[in-house]
Amino acid sequence: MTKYIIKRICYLLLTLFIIASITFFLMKLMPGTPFNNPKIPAEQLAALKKANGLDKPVYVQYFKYLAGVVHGDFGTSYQFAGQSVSHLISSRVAPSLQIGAQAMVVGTLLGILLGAIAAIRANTWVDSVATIFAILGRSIPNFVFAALLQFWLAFKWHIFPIALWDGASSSVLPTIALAMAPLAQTARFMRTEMVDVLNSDYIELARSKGESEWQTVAKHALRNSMIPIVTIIGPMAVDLMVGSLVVENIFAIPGIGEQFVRSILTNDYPTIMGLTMMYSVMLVVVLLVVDILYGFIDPRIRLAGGSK
Amino acid sequence: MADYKINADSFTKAHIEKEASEHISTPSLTFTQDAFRRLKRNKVAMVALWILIIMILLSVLSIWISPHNPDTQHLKWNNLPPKIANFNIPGFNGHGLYQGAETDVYKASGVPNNIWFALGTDSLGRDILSRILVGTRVSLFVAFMATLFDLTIGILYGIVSGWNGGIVDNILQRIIEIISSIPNLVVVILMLLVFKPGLTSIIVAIAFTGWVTMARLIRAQTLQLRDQEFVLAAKTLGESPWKIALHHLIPNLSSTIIIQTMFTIPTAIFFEAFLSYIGIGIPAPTASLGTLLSDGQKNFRFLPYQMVYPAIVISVLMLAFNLLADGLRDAFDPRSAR
Repeated sequence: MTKYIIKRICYLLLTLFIIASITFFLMKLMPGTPFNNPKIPAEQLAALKKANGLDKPVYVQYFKYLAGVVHGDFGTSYQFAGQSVSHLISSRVAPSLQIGAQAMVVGTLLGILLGAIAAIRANTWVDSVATIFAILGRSIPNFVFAALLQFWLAFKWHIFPIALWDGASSSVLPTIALAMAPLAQTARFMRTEMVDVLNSDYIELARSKGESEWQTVAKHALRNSMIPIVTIIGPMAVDLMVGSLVVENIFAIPGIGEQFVRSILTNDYPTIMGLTMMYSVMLVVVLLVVDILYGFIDPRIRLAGGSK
Repeated sequence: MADYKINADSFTKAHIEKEASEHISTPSLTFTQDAFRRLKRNKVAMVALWILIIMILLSVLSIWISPHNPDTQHLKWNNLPPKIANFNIPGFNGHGLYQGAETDVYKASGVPNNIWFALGTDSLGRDILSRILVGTRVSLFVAFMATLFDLTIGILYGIVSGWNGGIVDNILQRIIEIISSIPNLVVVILMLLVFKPGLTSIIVAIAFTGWVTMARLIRAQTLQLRDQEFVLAAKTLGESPWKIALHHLIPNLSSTIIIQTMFTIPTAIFFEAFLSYIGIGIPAPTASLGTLLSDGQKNFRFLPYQMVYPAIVISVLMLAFNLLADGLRDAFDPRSAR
């Protein structure tokens, strides 16, 4: 297991190095510099370039950049003069993490519930309703869903604040909007797993021992069906990151997703690079943790990995 | 008990018709035919299929027949609410709220009585229905093209990797591992920043990130197929690897390919809409479902119809593709059926 983890961490570092290099060279390919205002005199331009280290050859800039990334230094934002990118990002992480975590928890729990109910009442109207709900959650784009929520629950009925970020009530709508995708995914997965488990021999045994249906489900079926859900945490985290870009924008939440979109629209390259690295690190770490976690929860996986 | 005597006379020989016993009463079905037979019995999937056919037809036909020109701006007739002829259908009668009172917006803007816009006009006075039709076509085009590239790269990569095995497979798989750990979104956004925004770069960006899943599935299947007898037979007969791939592998991979394609298309539709929505997708004058949604969002609070109709169209489109994909998967792989 230790060997496996070390191997995975090496891969992780290699991946991050490649991502950092790709983003750096892509940024060098981009048209324009922050200083392409024709009114800037030549001497001043040279001074500006020198101050930002842009006068040095590309490979020197590259190594400087890599060294910076290792220290968590992504340079200075073009959009907000004098603000360092790492400071800009770190001041915006909290709301994004809060909404992301809330959406993950709410979505997964409701999804498990929905999937389990659908499986227990398989092929009845309850099942159909749950399935329709899950498919709708998969099919309606999250930004459409977010806009609809905002229109009816906030603008028409005044139940929640329309936008802005103050207090718990303003996090409700974005959480619901983001939770839709994980909810649909978990419900679908849970239902398939649970139907399999409910047809297995040990459930038959539990029933024949005279346990009530509720006890059987709660004690035996639920636990075993929940294990494989760990495997879809990775894809769900990706969905949440994608979703956060638009959802944060619609609800005007000062998070990293909102900042990412704004940096893209204003060509704020250092911030885009910083956020790209940040998203990649989060994703890669989540994937690693999930894999390791799964090895601990389900020893069969560990065996399969060991024999490789 | 009465005593029964069983002797040879109690039995008569059954009449066996040689011809009849060899007769095949149902037509023999190939695997694909059998799958489509199962698909036809799945009502939900069939409804989804028909909805898709109708939507695709409408969006293509709108090249020739369209209620209005989707690009013509009537600046004096902007933000008109939906109106269908002079039928007084609530929601489609051209009435809107103006300073709290319901007024006939068409009359107020001086629109002649015989002109109407079924889903209203946008802030530049363009007909929303016509723009939705064009937008659906553009979105579908992007999705189909991206999926086509996906398929080609994914199948080639998967077959090469699975067929060769050994070092080639090892290297190709490590490359996939690295690519798949970079968030798709990040790659797409970076690519769109470097290339000039437009249809081509969007298609390339979506295709570039989408082929990995396909390549993985194809490789796994190729690994199983390449050790089977019919492949060995083909090899022994001296067929070239390309011919084997084309004639023996791809037909056997077809179900995987079809199912995965059907799952890729809605993802591509979503990505296009998403990118256009945040403003780095398809540039302004061209309509796509994403640009329509993003335009509609600006006036959403006061003129909800400008966003609601594109939203319905994209949701129905994605729903239909997802349902059909589910149906196809169940049809091709009955074991996975619920």
